[in-house]
Amino acid sequence: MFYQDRKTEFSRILEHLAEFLDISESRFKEAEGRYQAVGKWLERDDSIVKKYNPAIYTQGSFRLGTVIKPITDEEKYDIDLVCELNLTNKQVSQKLLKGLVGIEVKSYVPANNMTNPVKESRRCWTLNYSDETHFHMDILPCIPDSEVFKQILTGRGVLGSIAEHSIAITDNTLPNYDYLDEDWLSSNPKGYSEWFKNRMKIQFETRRLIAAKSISAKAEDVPEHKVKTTLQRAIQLLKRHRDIMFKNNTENKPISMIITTLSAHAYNNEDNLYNALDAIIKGMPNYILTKNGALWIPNPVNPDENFADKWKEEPKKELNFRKWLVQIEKDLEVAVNQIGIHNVADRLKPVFGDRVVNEAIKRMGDDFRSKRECGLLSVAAGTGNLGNSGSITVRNHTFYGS
Amino acid sequence: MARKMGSKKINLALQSLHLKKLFPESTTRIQRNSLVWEGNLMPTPISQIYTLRLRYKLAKSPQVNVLKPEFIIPEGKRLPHTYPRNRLCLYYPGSGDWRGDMLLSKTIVPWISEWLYYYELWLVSGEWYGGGIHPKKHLFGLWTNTKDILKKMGDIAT
Repeated sequence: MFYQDRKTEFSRILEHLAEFLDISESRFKEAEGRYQAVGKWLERDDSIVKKYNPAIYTQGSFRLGTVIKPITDEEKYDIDLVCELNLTNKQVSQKLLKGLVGIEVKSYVPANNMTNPVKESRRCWTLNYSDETHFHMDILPCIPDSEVFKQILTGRGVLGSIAEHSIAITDNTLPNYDYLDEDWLSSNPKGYSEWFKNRMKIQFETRRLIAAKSISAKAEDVPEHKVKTTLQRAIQLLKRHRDIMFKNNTENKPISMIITTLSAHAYNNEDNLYNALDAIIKGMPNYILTKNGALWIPNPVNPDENFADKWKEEPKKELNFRKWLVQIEKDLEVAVNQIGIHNVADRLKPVFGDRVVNEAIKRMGDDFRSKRECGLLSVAAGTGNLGNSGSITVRNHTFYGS
Repeated sequence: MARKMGSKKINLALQSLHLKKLFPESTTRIQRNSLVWEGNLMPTPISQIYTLRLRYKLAKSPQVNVLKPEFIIPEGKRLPHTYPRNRLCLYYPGSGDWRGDMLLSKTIVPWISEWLYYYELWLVSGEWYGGGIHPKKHLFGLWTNTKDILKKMGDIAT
């Protein structure tokens, strides 16, 4: 019981920590505004892609609610966008599709008084906003995958409701890039996010309801992005720990896709953040499979795609992943066993960053202070533990003295 | 009205009884018109355990000291919200926060726990998040004589 209380209290610190790792609401809104503006641009009347019903949507951590702040203020957020046109691989080559989207993305720049040129990468167009803005925007041109391919996916065990979101993407290093051909790379960001959300459904609904009750609203009135489950919070903490551990070796750091996928597999809807992290860290290796002698972390929405495809040629990447897992387990274990909030915080600072730990500590203070001011803070008889379940309500008062 | 309520002071025996009831492992004794309570408090399950002593003379301001562990005071810092000799300042004297007709166990003791919580947070960031009032600078320039101050605090609280 005593140890359980410790873990609950430690989770409270971790929750606050993750809150500050998360993108701020204002920054989130700013990003949302930017990508909606790109969407509107593609849909405008004289857009050359308008007739293909362009759909712009987010993918990756923005979609999954697992975005974290960069370690330094100079670094920018990467917003990953998908630009899906209603065309088929019988109508366009990869190059033509990329070009169509490219024309519109390039014309967006001068039309919006931006100066930094658009950059092309293997699969994407990148919009670089001015230095004062905090984003890069990667735009992935794509078309819906063919019905045939979707059927192959369902035949391989992927749910129909997930396979239907599958898309075909371009890659300018492929030999068939510039002619009509049916063989395109496949991706499924919407399907992946469906899978991910399904993994945390119980916690999501519980927390959304709690959030709704606190403002006397209906669950559906609480925007999805404002509800964060212990899975999302755990992933944010894992990613930040990784960013700091590999800040001088970014090339070979464990990739977010692997961390996110393995975490979602190992998560069992724990409602306590420390317990969730513990289950995830211990469970992750169980979801690294072997296929034809190679380590295999399948994309849950496309079993033929291996997120660990680079591990074979670059064993350092696998090694770093395993080292990181051992390290974070140890770091959390040491922190949770400290006596005194200040000693816990001292252990968390080097692994998650001074600033977020200080912000979390301030939030812990402000939280209890405002609870006390509203008569919601209580003390447990016997121990003196503060919280909201004690039998003695803390009467409001004013600390005095120098 | 407040003055009238303030006159119905809770006697030391009753205060002691309530302290023992809510904190059964603590000790109380009444000697020479003073109630002395000693007990352990842990503001959160990951906090240190603090041993406290509370002395209360009927109609005076309760005096609270931490017996152990010793305070950690980072270099160049001063322990916030304390009177001389590290006595905890838990409420604003004369404001009605605390009066003799209130139970120590339901006011002073919870406030101690809260003070300890903000103390641990203060050790992390150097900031006090519990709110409160600091006496004016020129005042504590005059407050050099501990006896005077303690007397003064007691007078105000009566």
